[in-house]
Amino acid sequence: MLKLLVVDDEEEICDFLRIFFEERNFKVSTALSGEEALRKVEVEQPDVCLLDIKMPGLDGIQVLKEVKRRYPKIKVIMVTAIETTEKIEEAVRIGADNYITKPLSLEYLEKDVHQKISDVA
Amino acid sequence: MLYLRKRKIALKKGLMLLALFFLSVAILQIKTICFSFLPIKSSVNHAADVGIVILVCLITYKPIEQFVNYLFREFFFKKGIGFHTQLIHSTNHLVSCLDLKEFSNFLVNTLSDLLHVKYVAFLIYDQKQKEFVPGALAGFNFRETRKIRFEKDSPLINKLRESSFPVLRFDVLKRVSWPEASRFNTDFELLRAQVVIPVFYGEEVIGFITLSSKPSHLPYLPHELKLLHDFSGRISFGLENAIRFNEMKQRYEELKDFQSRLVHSNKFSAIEQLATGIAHEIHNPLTIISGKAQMLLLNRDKNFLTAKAEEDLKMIVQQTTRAAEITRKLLVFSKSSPEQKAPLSFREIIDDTFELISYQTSIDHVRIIKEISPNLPAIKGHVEEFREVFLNLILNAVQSVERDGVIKVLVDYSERDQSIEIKVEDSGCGIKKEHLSSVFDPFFTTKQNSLGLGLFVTQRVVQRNGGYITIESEAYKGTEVTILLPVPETNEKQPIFSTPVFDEKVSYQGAYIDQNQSKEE
Ligand SMILES: [Mg+2]
Repeated sequence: MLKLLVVDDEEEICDFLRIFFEERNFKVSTALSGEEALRKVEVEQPDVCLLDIKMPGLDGIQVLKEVKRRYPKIKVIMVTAIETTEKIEEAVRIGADNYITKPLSLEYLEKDVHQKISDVA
Repeated sequence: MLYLRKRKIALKKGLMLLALFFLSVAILQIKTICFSFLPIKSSVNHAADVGIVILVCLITYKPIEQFVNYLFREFFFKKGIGFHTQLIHSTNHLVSCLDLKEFSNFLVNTLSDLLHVKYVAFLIYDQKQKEFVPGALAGFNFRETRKIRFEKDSPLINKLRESSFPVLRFDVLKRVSWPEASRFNTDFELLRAQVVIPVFYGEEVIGFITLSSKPSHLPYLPHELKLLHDFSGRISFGLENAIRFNEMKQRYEELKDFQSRLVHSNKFSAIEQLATGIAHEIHNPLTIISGKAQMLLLNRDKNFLTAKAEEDLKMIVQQTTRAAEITRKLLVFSKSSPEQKAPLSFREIIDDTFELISYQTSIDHVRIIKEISPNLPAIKGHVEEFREVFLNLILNAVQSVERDGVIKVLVDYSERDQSIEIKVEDSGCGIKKEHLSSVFDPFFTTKQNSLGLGLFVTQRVVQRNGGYITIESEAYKGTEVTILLPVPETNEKQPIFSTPVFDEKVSYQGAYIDQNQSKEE
């Protein structure tokens, strides 16, 4: 079973993404902050991580750095509310595998997650 | 000036030639006389004569030139007739000169040209720095010029105030006590001055001129001082004017600078911050709404959705995307566009805009009239920004007109204003009087599903391009928006607007308007 970690400071967003991906046979865990995300990454060792950029405390960019440093194999898709080019460029430079803007198109997101996983295989 | 100097040079050259000629003749004469006493038979040897003349000329050229120069300087300065007229002539120009820099340069150049003194300094009282600072200097090197500054109550200035007449260096030094003399001496030395001429306006010293010693190193004579004093009296009014004008110019620049900083930094970044905040805060709820609706749709079989419910859910997803677009747009417009400006084609932009909203004008018969002058002067701008401007204005018009309404877009060159004039008129519902003053405010709207940013953003784009926008409207009659965009001066000579050839394109595309929505700008 494929493992997915959803990180967003909005609980509702985490919830519906968890339901959506569980219905598609993923093992989903969620984190509401950057700090929690780093703990979950260590415990769960997910295949793919959906990572919100703007969060109080550790933000998505900092979490991305840590995740890519410790577990370069984990695929990370950044989720942004607004696509400022500098932020996206920074994320890509650090090693983000893709980015998607809010509001999310679930169909597109599902396709992208599958593609990132097939890239590994 | 030039004319007078040339005449002087010609005169000098003539005098020298004359002197050399007489000298040569005299020498040849002496030679002949000498030979006639000698018992040798002298053969007339022209070549030898020429040789002697050349030799004499070469030896005596420099001393004679120096002598002629000396004569000239003393003559001009002493008799003072030519010099006097020239000085008076220069004051005429100075009195009418308003630019302080030009005034100073002209004054210093004139004096150093006429008097042939090596160092000339002209200092002006600076209200802001509360000291006398150089207006223009001649002869000084850069390092020296930086030190030349005098406080309002320094001994030298007090001396000038007291005497109200040109002050001579040796005169001052011999009249004061020894420690004071050394202080004065430092000031005089700094300016290399032999004479200091104050310029008064009323009771106040507003500037002074200093001259180093005359080329002859002779002292300045009383009649020369009188002449310089008259000169300073004549220019005082002009100097005062130039100083005032300069102050006004500086104030104006400061005000302009302050204003532009106020507009740009303050309001600008506040709007930008606001826009970023809104985008973040709004996109999260939108994500949840859209996400839940998408999930309902994806599980439509399990959820037993009716066809109507399915349609509505699709609408929800679409509308959230639209809302997100609005905040993105807001963010884009709150930032200064980094991309390069390009020549604008208003025809293209307007055609594209009507194309874009043609689906909205598919039910109501809206008559669209476009009158775009074919010979507009080229102006540059960000195409995307102007697309937004026309989209906002035309959408407002479409939303306000009823069935069979008329929308008119005019673009023309206004020679009087040196501007491109853009008008968007409609025969729609108009704007209520009490709303007219608020239409440009951010987030002002009378429509249900509008953020109220259209005209705000439009105004910002117009202002950023140096233009202005006005809006006239009468309830139930229609609205007319006018934009004036200045044409840069460099474009003036390019072909502008010759014969007005208007292209009238009338289309009967219906306008799709949500009937529930309030129809106001
Ligand atoms: Mg967030």
